[in-house]
Formats: sequence, C-alpha cells, structure tokens
Amino acid sequence: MDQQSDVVELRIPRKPEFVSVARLAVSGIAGRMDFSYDEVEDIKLAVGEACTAAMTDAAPGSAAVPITIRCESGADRISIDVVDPAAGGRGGKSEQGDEPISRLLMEVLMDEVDVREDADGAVSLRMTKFVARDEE
Amino acid sequence: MDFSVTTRDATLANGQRAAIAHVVGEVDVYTAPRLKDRLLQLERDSVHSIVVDLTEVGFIDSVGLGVLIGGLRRARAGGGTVVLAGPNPRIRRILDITGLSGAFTVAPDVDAALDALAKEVSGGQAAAQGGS
Repeated sequence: MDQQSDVVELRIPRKPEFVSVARLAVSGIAGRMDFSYDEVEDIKLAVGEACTAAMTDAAPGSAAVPITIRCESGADRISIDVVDPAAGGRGGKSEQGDEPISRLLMEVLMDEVDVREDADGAVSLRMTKFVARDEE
Repeated sequence: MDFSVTTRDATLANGQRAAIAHVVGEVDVYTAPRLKDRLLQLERDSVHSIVVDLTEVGFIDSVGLGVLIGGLRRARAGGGTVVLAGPNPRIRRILDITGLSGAFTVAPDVDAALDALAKEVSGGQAAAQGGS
C-alpha cells in the first residue's frame, strides 16, 4: 500500500462545527475509491466519532490545539489517523456518556481500530477499512 | 445543510398531550445541543409523550443518539416515552448496531409513531420497563 497510497492531511480547530468538515473531506476521498455508498457512510460516521471523541476528551487549556486527520488511501484500503496532540489522558471518560456508543460505532463500522498513546500525551486513533474484493 | 428543530403539539387518541419534534439536517456534536434544548423545553412544559420525527435527518452521530437516550429517560421518568418516526435505512442501521432499536419504538412515519405512542403511554409503566 505504501508505494501507491495517497495522503491527505487536514487540521481542524477543536470546535464542534468543524467535525462535519472532516466528515465531508474523508467521505470525499472514500467516495473516489471502490467502496459502496454504505461503506462510505460508515467511514464518514467513524471519522466523525473519532473527531468528536478527541474534542470531548480534550485536556484543560487545549482549546487552541488543532486536531489532525490524516487520510491514507491505497488500492485496497483507507486508513485514517485522528491525532489529538493534547488528549490529556482522558481516554474512556465522557461527560455525556456517549463514549461507549462512539467506540462501538467505530469498531463495528471500520475493519480495524487502534488507539496509540504517546509519552507526551498525544493520542492517535487509527482506523482502517478494506475494499471488499469483488470478482467479476 | 441547515439544521432545525421545530415542535408542535399533538393530542393522542386517548386524549393525552403529546408533542412532535421535527428535526431537519444532520444531528451531530455541533447540532445535537439544539435538539437537547428542545426536548428539555418540552419536559419543562410537562410534555412527556414525544415523537421525534427523523424523516428529514440524513445523519446522526453518538452525541445525537445520546440526546435521544436522555430524552427517552426523562420522558419515561415523567410517565411518557419517546417514539422515533421515519429514520432512513442508514439511521435504522445505526440504531440496530448500538442496540437502541430495542430501547426505542421506531415507526415508519409520524402517524404510525403517534399511534405507537398512544399505545405505549396507555400501557403504563409496564411498557416503559419493556425494551423488546
């Protein structure tokens, strides 16, 4: 995948109104690939969930730190990293109680979900969806 | 797409007060608070039997679902319930994945939702405990 993959990187302000921008951008990329309409919608929802989680889990004083969405599209898959440089180790907690639903949706809608926490407090959530093989 | 929530009064077949919340647009982390405000306002007005009309909702995320769950919980506490009307197949799928199609009564349109609401509310507390 590495040789042929295209990378699009988007940085959005940590503001709820920009989550839809991330959703639109990623669904635009997925829409150019061999995913079905439903699969593109799945990816769109999962990306929104990841961005929302990053915003609601923000550490105090991190309002000015943007969230990075890195989208890598190859022949057989799309991988999206949602990187929150200021997660503040709040993973798992949510005031609104929507965290379990959010995580469940990402796990069900994407093929792989992996969360990585760096020593400096950055949390990176990587999601991958593979293009279904369709023999003709 | 613009987001809006408008509410209107309704009277159930059994004469009980109800409200229909007509939602238009995408319900996500940005817009869901507006839906929440409307549902809270209905609660303050002592309206606990509510149809949330999703016919014109193209997208809902976990925050939006959380608002619906909160509305359902408060409505049940007040002796009523929330019925969802007209979700598109995508939203139905999300309700299934999250198990919420077991918690909510989902009707194909507003009229069917009002009928379901009348049945559930007149069914009393037993219906509120259900979930099947």
